[in-house]
Amino acid sequence: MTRARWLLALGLALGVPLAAHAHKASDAYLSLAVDGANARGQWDIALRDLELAVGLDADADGRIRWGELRARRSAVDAYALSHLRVTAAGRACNARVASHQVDAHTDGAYAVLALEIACPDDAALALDYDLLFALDPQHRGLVRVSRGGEIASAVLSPAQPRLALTSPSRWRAFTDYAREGVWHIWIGFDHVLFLLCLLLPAVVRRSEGRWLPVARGRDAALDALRVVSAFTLSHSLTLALAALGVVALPSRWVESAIAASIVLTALDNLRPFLPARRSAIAFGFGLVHGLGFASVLAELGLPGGARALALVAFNLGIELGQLAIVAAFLPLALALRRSALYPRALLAGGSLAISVLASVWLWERALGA
Amino acid sequence: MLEVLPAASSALARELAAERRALAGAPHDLARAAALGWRYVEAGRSDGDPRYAGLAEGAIAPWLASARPPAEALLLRATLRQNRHDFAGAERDLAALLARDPRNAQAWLTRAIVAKVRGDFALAQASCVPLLRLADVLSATTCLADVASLSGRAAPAERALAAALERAPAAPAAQRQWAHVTLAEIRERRGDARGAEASYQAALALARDAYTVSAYADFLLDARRASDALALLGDDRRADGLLLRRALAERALLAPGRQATQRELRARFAASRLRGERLHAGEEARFALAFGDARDALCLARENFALQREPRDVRVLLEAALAARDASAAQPALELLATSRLEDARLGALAARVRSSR
Repeated sequence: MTRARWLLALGLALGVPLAAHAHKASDAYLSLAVDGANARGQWDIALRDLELAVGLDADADGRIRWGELRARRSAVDAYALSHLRVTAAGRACNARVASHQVDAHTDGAYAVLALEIACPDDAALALDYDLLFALDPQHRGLVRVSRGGEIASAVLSPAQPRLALTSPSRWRAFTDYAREGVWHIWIGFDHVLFLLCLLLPAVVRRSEGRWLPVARGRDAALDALRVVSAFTLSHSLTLALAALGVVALPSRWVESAIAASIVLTALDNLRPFLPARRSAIAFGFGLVHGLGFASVLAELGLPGGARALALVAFNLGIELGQLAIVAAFLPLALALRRSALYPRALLAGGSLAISVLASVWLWERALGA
Repeated sequence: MLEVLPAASSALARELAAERRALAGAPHDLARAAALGWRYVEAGRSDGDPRYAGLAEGAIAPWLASARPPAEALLLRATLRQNRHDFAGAERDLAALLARDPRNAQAWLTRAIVAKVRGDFALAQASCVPLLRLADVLSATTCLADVASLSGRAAPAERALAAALERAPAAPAAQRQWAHVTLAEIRERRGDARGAEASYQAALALARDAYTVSAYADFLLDARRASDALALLGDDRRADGLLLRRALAERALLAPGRQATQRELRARFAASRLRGERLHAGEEARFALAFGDARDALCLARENFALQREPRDVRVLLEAALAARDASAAQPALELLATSRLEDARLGALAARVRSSR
């Protein structure tokens, strides 16, 4: 014994690192995709490690065959699942192995367990991992968890056996979606221009073919309020319906309809022809704009478990952005409404320019150019 | 068939399995656990499989968990830590162990090796000296000559080692092999190619291990004898270090299959990185120098040099700094050369090129 070890020390003296060889140290690869309170995943565990832990080589010939692995499938599952604890806010989730495959890694064949995990809720998710640690403290669990576009990864070891995901913060999700709503109305020129088309005539009234300034600013503000409220009401309605999957229309139709709504409203400012009051027009066309907002939300994706919250936040953001536009525009329009330039330059000129621009959009969107 | 288990045909696998079962039946038997641990270390050395190091640690894990691990467990852990390049951890274990058991020759030897690898030649020499009392003359001389040759006394070290080898023809093969390889490296550094080759061959005649094959293959590659290097390497592709030399030889010969070898090495380095380990930074740096990007190579060589400071580590840092045209990055290597008075014809020339490029 002593002599054997002495020779070993010489081997080490020669600096042969055990790890400098092709067979690498023991790793298992666990990846999970979390969706709300559920998760799907894949767990790759080396057959060599499973042989050590549960025994696969039934005929002890040093070779593992399909039949031998199949025969030990339930033992493999039981062993693996007993060394991975998934919890949501401290409460245990239920994990099961849905299917089995085998895959090749750089150091040999691995069993691939397809995991299905169901948690009591979608709160703070944590993994406690101790696969093989008792047998091989150098085993590492290489874990990768994706959740709503975020990815967390960790190398789990006996010293660091836990991966805890911060619970998705409701407030954070709320402010994120509200910010997206504001941002979208600010960069969404079509919505801004539609709103301006609706608001331009608010500080004037038409009398015998001529535009006259509204006498009292308060009346103009109330008119603007009615129009904006009608627009808000209708686009909130369709936004919710589309976001929750009740309504689904091709985005090309929606985008074309939005452009058309701007053209019509702008032309109506030049020579009124729409058979409805401004607030009714705002409501009707607002339905189409809501569908447009919904397509943005669809791109962002609603977080599982907080759909309603995110929807409300996004809508609120849109209203805030819209309110800022109104707050900037209305005082200016009120101040200028008595000027002779207002009806001609701002109302007529502005509406004409908007209608031309929106016609180009309509052309592009309808033809997909 | 899905998988061939390692050492499937060997008696070793069956023996290890039997010892595992015996230990499971007597989980409090330290002697049995440590014996199994050393058997695993031995299996890892002969088989080249790092999984065995983990299993060795697993065998003695219950004792390592205690506040004052028994000496037997400490020595095994120090050895495993050295293998993992956790040199500081290994030194802590060895210091604790030697404070308790100053007559433990293996602990002194392991400490000498760790200190040498880290470039602490004073500590390495101080750790070799007790071997004169506690071990045989050849081992003690090899230990001392190795360190002396790296710190400005290459010529007397070579003479002493050659003489010790002559005086100990009956020493165990492993000890003679170690002496021959050490002598080969000293002669190579001194520019005595013929003497070095004779010593490498003498070492290989006693035993074929990955370290000797790698060192001799490097010697042949430097001598532009790539086909000899390829013949030496044989068919064994398991060791990353050997596969690296194969890739270099195949490149020199424009051999078919050289791209596949490069791809395989790249995949292995990537797999090791996923674990969060950089055990191979030195070899990865050499790989990047030959097949990749000079900046990457320099990063890896610096990372490696922070951990290991043997001549090969000095060399890859100097070469990477030259390739990346960043002479200042080579400063730690130049300093080591200056303070240790390391005599190495090739390193001296490289260092001169680095200094003139500033």
